[in-house]
Amino acid sequence: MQFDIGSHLVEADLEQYSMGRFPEARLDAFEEHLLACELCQDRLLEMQAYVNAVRSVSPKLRQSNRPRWREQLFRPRPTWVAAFAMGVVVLGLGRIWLVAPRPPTDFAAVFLHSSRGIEGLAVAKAPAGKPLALNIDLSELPALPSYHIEIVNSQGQPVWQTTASAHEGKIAPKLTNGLAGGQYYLRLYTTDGKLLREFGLRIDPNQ
Amino acid sequence: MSPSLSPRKPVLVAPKEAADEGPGQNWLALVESITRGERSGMEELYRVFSRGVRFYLCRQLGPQDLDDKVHDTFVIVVQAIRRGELREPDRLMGFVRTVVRRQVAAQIDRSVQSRREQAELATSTAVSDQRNTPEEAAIERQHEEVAEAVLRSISGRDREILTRFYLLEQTQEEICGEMNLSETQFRLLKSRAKARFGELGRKKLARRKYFEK
Repeated sequence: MQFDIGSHLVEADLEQYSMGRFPEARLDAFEEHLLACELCQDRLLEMQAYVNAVRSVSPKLRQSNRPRWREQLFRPRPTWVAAFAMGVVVLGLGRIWLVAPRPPTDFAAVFLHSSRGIEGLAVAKAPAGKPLALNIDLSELPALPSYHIEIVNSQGQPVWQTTASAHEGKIAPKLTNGLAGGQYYLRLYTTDGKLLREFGLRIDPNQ
Repeated sequence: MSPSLSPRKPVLVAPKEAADEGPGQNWLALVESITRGERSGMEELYRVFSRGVRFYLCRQLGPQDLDDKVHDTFVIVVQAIRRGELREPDRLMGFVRTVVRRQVAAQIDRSVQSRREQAELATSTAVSDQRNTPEEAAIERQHEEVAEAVLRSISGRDREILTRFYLLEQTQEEICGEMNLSETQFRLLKSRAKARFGELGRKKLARRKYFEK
């Protein structure tokens, strides 16, 4: 007996689904095929692994590029160059300090999607003590102008909360102080307190 | 017997079977068989959907108690079919998906409720260790090594493009506009990097795990 399960899923759709950006309007057909097609399940797994791996590695590569120009800038020079540079810096500092924009804080991006658990690859993780830029996927949730967010520790005690507006199917609040190492849960509520979803979040003290 | 993967992957079927019944008709035959309580119908249902249901539940809820959740899902589907709740047999795939999604939502509700109750009962409640197992950690590390090799093998500009797309979640239009790229260049870069990742990592990818029986 053979069954009509439709065409295979296209690469771009698998990519969007892995990133939590798949359009809600086409989700039914996508997931119905996925339930019956082993080939597409494997392709999705590979795509998910790829997206997660790129997301994990990219910040590291970006950081490793930074010291090169810093080394160039701050490498030892003759004393007179240092003295001259210091003079220029001292003269300009008073003016620049007040008007120059502060360098952007280096946030760790944390993606919280409704999917998790395959080989541990989709578990949201973040480094301890570092500012966090949360990126919360709202797919399959009611579209509201804003949401209440609460982070609780492993004992259920609230450690942080905020209200944030949705933009293009996501909310992206920032925790400027970061979190200490441990297991946390992020809960997403309507503004009148109805629980919509809970995400696991592991903060790694050694990362 | 295997589900058809039309139109790209032809499935070998006996000519008589192919001539007698179209793939759409077979959903009807399957539903009727389950309704009559035939064992073969339930086996066929399980064969077509068991891996997908495991896959979906594992993806949404993790591997804990996966066998029980899959079993519960099939019991619900079969009972509903027998009660005549599936009015359009060719919508069986959608019906199974709806049941699975409800299972996921119910499980999430239960988990949240249970965690709340535990927190109210004690201040030092034991929670399950959600860290990766050594095997999972090794697989994750391998994936990252492959991704790092791929990203290091391309130019800094190409790397920036991939970072903007996957990490910073900029749209294709934003990236193409800011980095002066055509859509074709953008798509090619992405697909080449992904293909390279697959090529380097294929042997290392442990693709079948919890959802595989």
